[in-house]
Amino acid sequence: MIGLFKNGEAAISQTLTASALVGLLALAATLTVAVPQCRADESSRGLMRMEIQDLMDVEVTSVSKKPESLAEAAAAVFVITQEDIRRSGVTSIPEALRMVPGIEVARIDANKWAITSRGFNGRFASKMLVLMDGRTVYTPTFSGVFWDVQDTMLEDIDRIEVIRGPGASLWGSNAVNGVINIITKQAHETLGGLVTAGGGTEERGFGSVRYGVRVGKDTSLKVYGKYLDRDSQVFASSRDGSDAWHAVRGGFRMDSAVTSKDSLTLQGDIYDERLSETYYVSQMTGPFNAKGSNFGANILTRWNHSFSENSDFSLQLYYDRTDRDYWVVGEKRDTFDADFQHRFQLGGRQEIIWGLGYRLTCDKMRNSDILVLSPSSRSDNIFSAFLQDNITLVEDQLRLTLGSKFEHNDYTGFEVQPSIRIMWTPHDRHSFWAAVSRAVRTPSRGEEDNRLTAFTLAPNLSAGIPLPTQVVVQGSTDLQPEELLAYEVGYRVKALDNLSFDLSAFYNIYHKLSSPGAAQYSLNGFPPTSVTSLVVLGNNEDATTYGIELAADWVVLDWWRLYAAYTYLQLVSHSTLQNTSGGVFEGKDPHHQVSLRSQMNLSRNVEMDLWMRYVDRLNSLHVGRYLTMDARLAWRPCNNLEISLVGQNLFHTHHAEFTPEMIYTVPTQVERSVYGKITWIF
Amino acid sequence: MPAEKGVGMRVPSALPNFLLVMTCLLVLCLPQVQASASQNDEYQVKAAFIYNFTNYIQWPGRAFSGGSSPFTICIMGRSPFGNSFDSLARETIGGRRAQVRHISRIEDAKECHILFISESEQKNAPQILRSLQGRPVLTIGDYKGFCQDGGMINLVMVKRKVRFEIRPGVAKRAGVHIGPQLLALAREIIE
Repeated sequence: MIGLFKNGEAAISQTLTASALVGLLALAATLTVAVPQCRADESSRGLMRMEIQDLMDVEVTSVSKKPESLAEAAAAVFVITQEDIRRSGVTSIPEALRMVPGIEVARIDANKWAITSRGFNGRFASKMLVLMDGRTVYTPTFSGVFWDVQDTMLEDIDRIEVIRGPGASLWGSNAVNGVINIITKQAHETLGGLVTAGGGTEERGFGSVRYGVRVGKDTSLKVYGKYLDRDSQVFASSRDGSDAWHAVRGGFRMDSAVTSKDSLTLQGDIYDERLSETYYVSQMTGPFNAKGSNFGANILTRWNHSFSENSDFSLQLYYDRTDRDYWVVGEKRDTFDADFQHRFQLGGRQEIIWGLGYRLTCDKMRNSDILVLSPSSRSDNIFSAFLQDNITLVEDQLRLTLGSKFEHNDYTGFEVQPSIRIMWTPHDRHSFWAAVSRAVRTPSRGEEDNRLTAFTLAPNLSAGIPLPTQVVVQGSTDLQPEELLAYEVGYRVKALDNLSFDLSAFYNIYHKLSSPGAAQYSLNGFPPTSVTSLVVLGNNEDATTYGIELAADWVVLDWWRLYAAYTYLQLVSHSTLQNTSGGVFEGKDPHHQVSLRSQMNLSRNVEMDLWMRYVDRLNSLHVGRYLTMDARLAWRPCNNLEISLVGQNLFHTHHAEFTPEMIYTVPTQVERSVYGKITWIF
Repeated sequence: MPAEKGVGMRVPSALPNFLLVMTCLLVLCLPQVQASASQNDEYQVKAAFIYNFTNYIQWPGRAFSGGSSPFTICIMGRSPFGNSFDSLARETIGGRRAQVRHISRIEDAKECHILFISESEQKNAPQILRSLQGRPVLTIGDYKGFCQDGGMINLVMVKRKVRFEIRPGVAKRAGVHIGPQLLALAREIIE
């Protein structure tokens, strides 16, 4: 049986790779080369020659689709802009997410992060969906995100949209606690060249190059390449953490206005990464260092067509390959995804958006002594559909959004995830929203198929351990999806022209959370030489979370701007097996988090930016609270050159942020660091 | 073994076909799309408005670094214009060569003569507009409340036609003179 899977898998991956590439390239070539240039340019020339009075009589035949401004969304949203990224001095996407209220970011070691929205943090935090330009980077292996490989040239990011709370009615299963949408700039916005280079104490060296050209009247193409080399952090003892890593990546993006009503995007990336990490899986052998590597490639195409001002559709296809080779497990995964979306107006008051999606994901695992996935190869299909209706109840004042996702997956079958949202804008400066949603998280490949020897305890008679004891966590095919019922409210106010607040609060009820069950002990060998303590994953836990998130934006003076974010979170969980309080999920999330950013333009060409962060303690992980600060000083001697100096985590020589769960790699601490950077535009 | 292989191959063989069908669909759709390409896209019309505004507006001499320096139209944020401004590359504005730039930093806006602030920058617009106060940059936007944020001209859609609001006070303080003919055509004058 396993042999058959293996053969099948190899064939799938090859056929898929080849055919997807050939197909997508053919498609792009057809649309951009073979099609004669449209008349858009001529007609705009004609319009240019008209007088204003005549232009005022021109009837616009196609009004561009206005993506709903996030400020008007009935959800807890935050947008990180390119300016926010540049002025924060961050060097990676995970670090940028620290400025978002409601999001927890903790660095486990130099190449691992634990990131979540509204609680349940962990390296394998499973309740948040992450997309890059519409491509999901959430891995079905353990329902989480490998943050080290989620990268691009930071200068290329247009914005990062972060939605806290369930986004499942649009995005589907696993968008339980939030959605992060990383959106890069279009090719025609990045014409010309850009070079960055720099280095410092932790950022040992980095550099990137981007070049964009027009390849036709309506088509632009850009290519980029990026390299980074990051130093290791330190263990709690201040000893070197041996977790240094380096990565190289490159990619391209082509955007084409094929006709005045059609636009086409084709983009792809490829990357290769080498890293070190320290495992501690047995008291018998002690911690040891191991090397790992990541390779990945993806290609995506998207076609937008507008029928009229009220109606348009988009079709998106992508193929993604990841090839992970760690000591604990090796994984090769191919994902093929197709998405279709259509929007139209129904009567004067309703806007309908509906869509269909299909995803095929095939993997092939290399098992190790401590982690075994069986079968070692598996293909899964997800079919999905969604329907959303935006109803304007009172023009410009009251809007109701009803929607649901319908999904069929190979793990738990059919899932329905509805939501109802209402937005009330009584005044230009005030808006209120409220929402009730249901979302589910389907079990991951790992949760169904793994057998993990998480830790081996050495015999210790005083602790009641007579023989070496292996703690084994086993997956289960009986797992049901985790369920969430979420209640949310929000209020946005523009208190003054230069001061605005965004407040949201939530109450979430979770059922059937996946957690290890009661341990069963068995003796190995006769006479026994070791003990196995087996725990099987089950839907064993219920939880409640509630919290408040506040974002403030104050333009103090025209050269000085302040941003503040505050997050309050409470998480209570309990096992449904035995009626005890204090479940396994408690104490892993900070109760309070504060971020305060200051951006100052000291003169026409000098910027000074400060960023202070406070994160409360993580009780059950024995991680203390910390307060730290980043600072950035930048000087632009001329318009196309910027020189900046950035200090990060300045308040401590090093501080701990997290302790990983399940697969135990020794955490390391974030060190104080400094780097310099040059950006040149040509 | 051969039978096993056959079973394994069945899943992927659907994919090339799927792609083929999609490609064909795209190609087949195109002629129809072409036939209706001469319509007036919202942002082509808006681009024409922006170009035409220059006939009614005067910039002070200090706005230009030299007699032959170009006239710069800047777009900040996600550009909705597509290729609508392309034909401008062959035009002149007030005897100067026209150029269009996409910018992302506030500092770069100071080099512009016209700055279009895209809706994607709505959040940052008040600060951008504050930092440009008194500078001879004509600021244009197209979202509700742009003039209230401190912008000079706001393009608004009224029943499929483009109209505009003007806040002449801000322009006057910046040394940008908006002619009375243009003020007369405005849908609303905001003080």
